[in-house]
Amino acid sequence: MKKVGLRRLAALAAISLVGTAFAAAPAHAAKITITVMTPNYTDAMPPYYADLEQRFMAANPDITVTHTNLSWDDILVKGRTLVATDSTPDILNLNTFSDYAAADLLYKTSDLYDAKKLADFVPAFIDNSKYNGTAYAVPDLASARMFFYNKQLLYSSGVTKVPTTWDEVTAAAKKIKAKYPKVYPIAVPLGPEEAQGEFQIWAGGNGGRYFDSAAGKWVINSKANVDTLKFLTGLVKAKLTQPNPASTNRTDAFKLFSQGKVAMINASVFFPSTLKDYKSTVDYGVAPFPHSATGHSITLGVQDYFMAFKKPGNQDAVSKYLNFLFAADNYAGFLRAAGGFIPATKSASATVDSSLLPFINQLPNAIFYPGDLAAWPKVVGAITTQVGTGVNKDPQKVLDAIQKIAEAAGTK
Amino acid sequence: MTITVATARKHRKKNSLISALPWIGPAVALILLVVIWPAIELVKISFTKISLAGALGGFNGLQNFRDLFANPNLSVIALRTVIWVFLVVFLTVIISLPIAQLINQKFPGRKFVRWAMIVPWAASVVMTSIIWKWILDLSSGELNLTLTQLGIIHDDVDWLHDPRFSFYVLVFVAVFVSIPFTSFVLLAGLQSIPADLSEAASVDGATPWQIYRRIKFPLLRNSLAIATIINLINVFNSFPIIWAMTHGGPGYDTDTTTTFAYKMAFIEYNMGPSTALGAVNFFFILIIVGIYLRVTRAARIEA
Amino acid sequence: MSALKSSEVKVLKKKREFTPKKIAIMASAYLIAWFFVYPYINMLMTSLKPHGELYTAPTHHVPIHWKFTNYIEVWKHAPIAGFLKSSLIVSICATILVLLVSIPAAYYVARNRFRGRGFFLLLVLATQMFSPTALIIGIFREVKFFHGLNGYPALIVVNAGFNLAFAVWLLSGFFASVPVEIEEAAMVDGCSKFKALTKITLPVALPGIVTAVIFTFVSTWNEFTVALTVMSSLPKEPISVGITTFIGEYDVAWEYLFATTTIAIIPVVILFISIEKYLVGGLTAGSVK
Repeated sequence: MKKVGLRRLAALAAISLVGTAFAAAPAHAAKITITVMTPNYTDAMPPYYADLEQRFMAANPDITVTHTNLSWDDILVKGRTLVATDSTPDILNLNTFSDYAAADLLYKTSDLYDAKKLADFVPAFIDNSKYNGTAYAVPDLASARMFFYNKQLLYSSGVTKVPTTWDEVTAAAKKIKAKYPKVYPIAVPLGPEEAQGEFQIWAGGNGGRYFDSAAGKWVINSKANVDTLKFLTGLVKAKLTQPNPASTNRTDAFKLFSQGKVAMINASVFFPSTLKDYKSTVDYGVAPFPHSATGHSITLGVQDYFMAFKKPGNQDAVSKYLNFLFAADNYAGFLRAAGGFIPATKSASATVDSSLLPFINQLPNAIFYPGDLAAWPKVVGAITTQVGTGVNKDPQKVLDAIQKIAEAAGTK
Repeated sequence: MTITVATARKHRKKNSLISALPWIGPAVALILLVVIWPAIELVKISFTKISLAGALGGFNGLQNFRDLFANPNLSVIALRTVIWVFLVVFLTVIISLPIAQLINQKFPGRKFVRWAMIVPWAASVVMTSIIWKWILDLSSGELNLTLTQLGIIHDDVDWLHDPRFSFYVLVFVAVFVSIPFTSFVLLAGLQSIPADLSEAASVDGATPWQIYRRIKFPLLRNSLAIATIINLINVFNSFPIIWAMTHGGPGYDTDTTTTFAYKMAFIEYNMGPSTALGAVNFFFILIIVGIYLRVTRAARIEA
Repeated sequence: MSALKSSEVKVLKKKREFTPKKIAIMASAYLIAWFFVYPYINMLMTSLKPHGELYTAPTHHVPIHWKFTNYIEVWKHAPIAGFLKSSLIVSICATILVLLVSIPAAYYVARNRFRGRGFFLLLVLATQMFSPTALIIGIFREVKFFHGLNGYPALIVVNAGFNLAFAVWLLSGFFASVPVEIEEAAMVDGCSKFKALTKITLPVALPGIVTAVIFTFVSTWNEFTVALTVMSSLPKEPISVGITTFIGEYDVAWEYLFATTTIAIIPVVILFISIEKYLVGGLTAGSVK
């Protein structure tokens, strides 16, 4: 990025030189600086953006891009402060968008992309990017989750069939525990990093949801959800999980699995590439996620968003930037840098790596977060901090407390 | 200092504020701009309605405060904050006293020992916390590795997340980062004690402990008061240790009022009650200032 | 000669001898020294491991394969030079600003009684009480109010403001310890008050000034919350925020994170250690006040 800065400086110097030399030359289109703020999917992202923006600015000399990469933790905080003080970036990549759309801060996607481009996004993902029926953001990538298991630990413990139901999970976990007392049979990472996902994938297999869109109300403390939390508490009490699930983050659990210390785990589409990064030698299998006796297997679809904030005079520049980013080659580079996610466009989906196919095949069973509700960012904050404590405290009370917060936040 | 001020007082009559302004004006301006203005701004916001997206609305009366005090977790967190501040400051001071005494002795390599103690002081608290988090990690941390190799533990311990340990682990790290500064302030205090005082006492047959207890310790009182008050403020305001290591979790089980205010604002999007808690935190700090003024005034009169 | 004065030699020797007490002092001092640098040794070791070695179970105290190239690779993975430049600009400017503002104020307060002195000292004390984290929402609203100043100036002024109190406290102790008589003598010799300050008092107070400089520099260098939330139009974020680049969504590049931290810590530690001599003296004057 240093290089970009220098080149930009050189370009600016050249322009200003030319400007002084030919003071009478007609003015070009107004110069504009746009700020882009993105989270780090991996540490390959900053070099990717450095290259992308260098080429973008070379093609659009009137536009200067200031880019900030932040960790997920930090970007959530930063995004919040920026809006609270009306100093939003021009372009933001985040996991929620609805509260900004509700506050009328965002451009409609139809103002930024042409119809052909919009039609290329996977329709299910675009549907999740709508607030009140209008799309205000575009998906940049998505993930689905499946059940990963350590073949060696499972089979050598006498488990003959990969568990498909909760009862089979418990039975398999007990066998593994008996054979390998130091292994944590199943990881349940309910720490603040991703508790909402971990809980949803278990609850979803029992017919539980956060929001009932048909009835238009929050159902966080529904019987299906309470029973799910009770089931997880049972696993914890029987010492079949890693210690302290309420504080274990997803990243910690991934690491334990990669070390062969965890036998079964719910993980995302990018997990194989993570294991490769970790130089893990675990021989693993992938299966649909187990469900309760009354439920059926689901997968949790999660997507992130690109959105652009309305500011005087920036529409043309942000539109150019986003279309540049989503141009086939550049977008392919984006997916490579982000590492192993499901593409958000049809054209990119056509050429995916074969290891992604099991996950893409699961997508028809996918349930999504109610990300189109303006209240969702607030509700998900309460879920991440609190739902994990349900395994130490009273599940009913914990879910009741979150339900109360959700109801107060509204259903719009 | 007391003496020079006294002479200054005798020699000079009180100057007017106007003549002082060219000297202190810039400092006052900077303080007003950077500290007082945001403080007033924050108190103002605590009485303002704040939208879900964080934009400001109109006057909201005491609603934010009512929401705050209705929060069922507040009382436990407030109590924990008091314990946190007391425990960290107490341990820091108790451990720093002998350390200051130790690095005041003459021995080969003393310079390097002092340098070593400067490192945590120079490093950022955020990074030190992250390093400790890594050392205490369940499966990749060096602590569990070492303890296993020494045969002290047989199963890995989840130091940071186990509810039996997590709060005390945070206290440990807070004490770790506070000791260097405190030890150096106390060391400075020790060095300002004239050497002939203790020599005279030792000639009179006093034991080293008696010398410390009767002569050095009372003379350290000023340094001790300063170290304590600065630690009280720093620990009360301490944010990075808890945030980097546990996020105040699980739930709110390791939150203090400082991290709780931050969590409400930026994770739970509860800006209103969060600013109200910010205002309440000011109130706490003012109480500490009040106590400080009392104590230092008392110390000055006694001295 | 040694035969002649054997008794004297014995006395000398005894002084140098390692008595059990001295050995105990040394042992505990070295142990304490090790304890305080231990985490940073762990950091250094981790920064020299290849990524695949971070998560092996069981883990290892020192790298199996020493990967010194981590320290070269980080520069390609993140604009570290840009981060360091931002940090330098902000830290240096904040330090200069603190000095320019605190020296006259500390001097005047140490030397003069004036109406409002008590209030001024209270104001300084109040600054010491507030942390930027607690005020972050207020600070941000203010920065927004001064829209054009967003960026370096905002960060510099905020950092200077929060470090001012300590500098005033430290320096006024120092100025007070310089006898008024010396200055008065100089003034009798025809020096102006200002000249007396710069020629006589400042050199004596140098240890205090050095201490104040390092304190301000280091705390600005390490400041995180304001740098994260306030800056939105810096060319590059300061290093304290920049290192979070290595915290990915599902994997932390610990070896890069720690390598970059080491790069960021080393200059600060060296600065600090180089003034160790002044440090104790600086704090003495302050704490005797």
